[in-house]
Amino acid sequence: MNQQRAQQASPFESDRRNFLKLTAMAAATSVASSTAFGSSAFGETAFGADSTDATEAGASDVRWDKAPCRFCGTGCHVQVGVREGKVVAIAGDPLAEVNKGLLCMKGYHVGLALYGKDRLTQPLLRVDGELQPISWERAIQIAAEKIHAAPERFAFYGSGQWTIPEGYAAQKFMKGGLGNNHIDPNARLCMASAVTGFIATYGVDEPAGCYDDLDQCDVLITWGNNPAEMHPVLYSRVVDRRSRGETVEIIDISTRRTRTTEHAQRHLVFRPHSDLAIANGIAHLLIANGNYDEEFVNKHCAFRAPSDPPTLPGRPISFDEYKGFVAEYTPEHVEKISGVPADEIRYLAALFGRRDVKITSLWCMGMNQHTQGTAINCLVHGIHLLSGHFGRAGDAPTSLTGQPSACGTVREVGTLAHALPGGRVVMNSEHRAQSEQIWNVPAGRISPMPGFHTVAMWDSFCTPLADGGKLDTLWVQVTNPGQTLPNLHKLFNRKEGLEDKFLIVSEVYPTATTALADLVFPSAMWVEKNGMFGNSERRTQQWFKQVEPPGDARDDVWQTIAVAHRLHELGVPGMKDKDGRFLFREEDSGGKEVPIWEWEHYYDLNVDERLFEEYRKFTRLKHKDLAPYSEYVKTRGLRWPVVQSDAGEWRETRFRFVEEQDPYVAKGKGIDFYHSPTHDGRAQVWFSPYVDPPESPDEAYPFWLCTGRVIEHWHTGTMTRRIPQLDRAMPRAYVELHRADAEALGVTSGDVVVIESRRGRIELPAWIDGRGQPPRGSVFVPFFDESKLINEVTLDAYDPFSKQPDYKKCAVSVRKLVKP
Amino acid sequence: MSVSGIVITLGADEQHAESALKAMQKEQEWLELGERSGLRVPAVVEAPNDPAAEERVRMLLQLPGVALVDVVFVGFEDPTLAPASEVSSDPS
Amino acid sequence: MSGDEGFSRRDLFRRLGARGKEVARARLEPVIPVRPVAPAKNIEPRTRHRVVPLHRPPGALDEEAFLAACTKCGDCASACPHGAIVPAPARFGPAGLTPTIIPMASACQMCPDTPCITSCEPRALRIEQPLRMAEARIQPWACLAHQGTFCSVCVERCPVPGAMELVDGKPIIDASICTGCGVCQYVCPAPENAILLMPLTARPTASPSS
Repeated sequence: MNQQRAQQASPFESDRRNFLKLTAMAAATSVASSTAFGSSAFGETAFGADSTDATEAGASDVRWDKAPCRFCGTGCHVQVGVREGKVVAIAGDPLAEVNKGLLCMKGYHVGLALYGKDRLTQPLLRVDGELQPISWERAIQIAAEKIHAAPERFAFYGSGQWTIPEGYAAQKFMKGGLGNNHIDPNARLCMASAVTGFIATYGVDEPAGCYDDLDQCDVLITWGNNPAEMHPVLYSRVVDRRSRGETVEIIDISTRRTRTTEHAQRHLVFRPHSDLAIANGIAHLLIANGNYDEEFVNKHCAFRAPSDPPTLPGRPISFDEYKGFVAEYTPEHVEKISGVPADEIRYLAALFGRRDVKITSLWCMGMNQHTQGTAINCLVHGIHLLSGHFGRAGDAPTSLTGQPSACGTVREVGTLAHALPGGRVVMNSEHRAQSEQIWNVPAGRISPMPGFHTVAMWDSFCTPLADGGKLDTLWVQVTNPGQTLPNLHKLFNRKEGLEDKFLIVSEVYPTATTALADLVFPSAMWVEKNGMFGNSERRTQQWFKQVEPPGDARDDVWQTIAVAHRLHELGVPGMKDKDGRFLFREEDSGGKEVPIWEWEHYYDLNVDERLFEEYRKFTRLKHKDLAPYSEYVKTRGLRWPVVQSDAGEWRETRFRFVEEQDPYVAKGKGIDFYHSPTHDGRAQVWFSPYVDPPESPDEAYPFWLCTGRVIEHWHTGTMTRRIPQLDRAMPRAYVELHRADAEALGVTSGDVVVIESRRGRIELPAWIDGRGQPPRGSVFVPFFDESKLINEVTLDAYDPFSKQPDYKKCAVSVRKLVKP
Repeated sequence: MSVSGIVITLGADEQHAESALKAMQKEQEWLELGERSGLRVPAVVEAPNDPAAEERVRMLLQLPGVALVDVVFVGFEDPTLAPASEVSSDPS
Repeated sequence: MSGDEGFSRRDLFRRLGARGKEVARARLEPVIPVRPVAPAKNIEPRTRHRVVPLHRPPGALDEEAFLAACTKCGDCASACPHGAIVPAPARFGPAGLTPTIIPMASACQMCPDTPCITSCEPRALRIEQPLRMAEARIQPWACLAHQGTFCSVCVERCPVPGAMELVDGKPIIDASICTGCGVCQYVCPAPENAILLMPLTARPTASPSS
């Protein structure tokens, strides 16, 4: 394109240049003076149909404020620009430590998530099969009556997209109010195995390290993880170090080639499920070669193995027993199980055996959505502990979350069927008593029996009462189970037509879930309400409401409190505290009750702040101390424990369990696992054997199916598919096939293929040699596309401890669609 | 030679905008400013080659008072498709 | 152990992100699509050759010959299975109502069987003409991949084999193969569309005999 650069200007050249300049100026002038600047030819106005002329209206009246991005668990901060009650601009927040001004392609468009054309703006009730608008008054009344009729048959299903106050309000409403533990989040489908892994290893949930490890590590190992696609800003943070002359070796251990692999020096492709063998193989060599960290192990570790019958704490074993168990996993044996060459196992083990390199492991759904999810989580922690790759910046085993507040809300507030806030569990009488005291409810209010976990909850809800179903009313907030549950025909679609089942859904857009809803509450989203999230690195973040929600859409916290108050009016005893006052009573500075259940008064005070300050009281037990709300207003998030110094400053913690970093590690200790399951400051190094997956390819269903995500879309695409730029970039789901498999099936890219399992079938266009490349005998399908529900095909088998289903492997058949 | 038509969007701060305009007016060698319309100023950037043009656009972006620079036209032709006789014909 | 130096390379990108602060639009408006350029009212084309270039369907004759041959019948637009061919606005004078493509609305998908060309009875579009319509360029300052975050959409969706490739994760256009169909511009998810698409100002003249 540069060939025409003549050095000497000929008369022709100068004439042509003048012409070009005139044309260029004409073009620029027409754009600059056009009032249509911004409304483009394709009829989509990105921000605001009313944006006639931005520059005339001027920029000065735009108000900027901070907010964490609405999408993934990375927790980037954006600057939100608001003009005339509308979000009109998004910019990366340069003051945010997580992303330092950078965003991914979704983040730049996050403001548009508010402005899809089909926002739900009024409550809807299903009448004669059709959703009809009704008043809020009636909607709240109907919900309350349904719950009141049989509180024990009511369940609440939330998510890791619940803000911290939303999750806390739902938690208190259920466990502290109704005395009902049937509350569980979609995070059960997402990171429950990480939780059980942390608890079984350290006795307390959540990573010890943080994103700073990514800046410091010499080696990054991605275990079944594709951060280039799912946590792009974090992966940029690693890859970008190379352009500054730093060396960071990336080793990708996965079941298919991905965008992450492209930046990796080594790629180990393993047979689905065999990551357990790989981890055991590394442990075996560390011991056999004598280069495990003996001092670290002697001081800080104990050993464990599965018990019979299986329990999460397992049973203690000696080092020698451990050594004996892993001895079976020789490199050659591991190669046989996993398909990974023995020398690659030796390479990994040698790397872990070196003290002079810092190794960070990252994982997310690959290790968590796994019927041995707890076990593989424990094993990866185990090889870090065994080799002493722990506790230095850059040496950390770190799990990531997919949702913006899977940690902050689900794991910390404990919106799980067995949990109470702050790391407590319902089975523990002391924990119940502490919770009852903070909630000021009578002793015995909280039930000691865990409620239904996600899969059991939906199975029960979709089973008629006459056939043994235990639930009849289910309220969903901030998630889309109609698309994300595994084996949808069994766990969701079956609800259709069941007369005695009532589904309430709080949503912002019509979804696969509202399709079967009986009652729909239109919700405010993101910066249409106050909120707080907690990201993957223990960072608690806060934002203020910046625009009004559309129509009659209202905050989820308000909805919960409004239903609670209606139940209170109906005389439900659980809605009263010990002193006979409303469970969610809030008072003004004069001690007068503020009727926050009335929408007109909901923002008379900051309900988020009130709920958060109450919740903070729960957070000391497990040393997950949070700062006052006002501290989060000032910052782009703080990583807990946040402890006040003698000088009065609130100080965050980057590395837990490490002296001088973690305020709860005493001087001279070095490292202290102060929530050790064995109460002796030791972390547990687990052995768990490789076991076969519950379903493997066979003659009838000869392919592995793996599901996952793409960079363009977040979760079920209900927000991102309504953003024109992202929808255009990735309009629909597809199936990735290996070229050789495709050739054998007579399929080329774009051909429609049929994917079928024992549970369902789906038709998808093939993509060969695309962004991801599965090995032979294996296919990959993303789950974002509402019109192509891959979860009608997936398996609902789950991990025995975390109850998290495995979306990463089941057996399917694949064939070219033959049009009749 | 690279010729680009650009739209410079000035920042809301009028003082900064004025100083940016003044600074730009000094660059007549390669920058021709058109008639200002609100916060937008159409302009033409000339440069010996494309990288230099990009660099110049970047320079403009760095001026305090300049908020955005949108490139709306780039004058380039492929000589293999546009023989000189074609391009230079008919000087009316 | 601080990560303070992170992203130091990205001065430009950081500014791109932050400059929105000043003007109230990081994404205040949608991307300015690089549209066919309309002549400004006060500037007359100085020669017949110097009409403002339009993004023509593939296989179009040299502009002068094209305007002479095209009957504005709309057959090519009807034949286009993607609705990509639309009549130019009347204000384009003699070029008004002639077929054009606005890639930001719907890009040419480079159908292997070129139904638009086949449908063109007056032979203003000809299969023996180059299919080239425009010249596409990536503006690295706006491109997500070039600025350090991950994106490969344009390369994945480009319908012309070999016209685009990823080098070190960043898209590159091979101008000798690119036809300027505009798919890359249509699919680009960058906050400021990173594809600059210029209709050709000159196309080869078909031999009079053909």
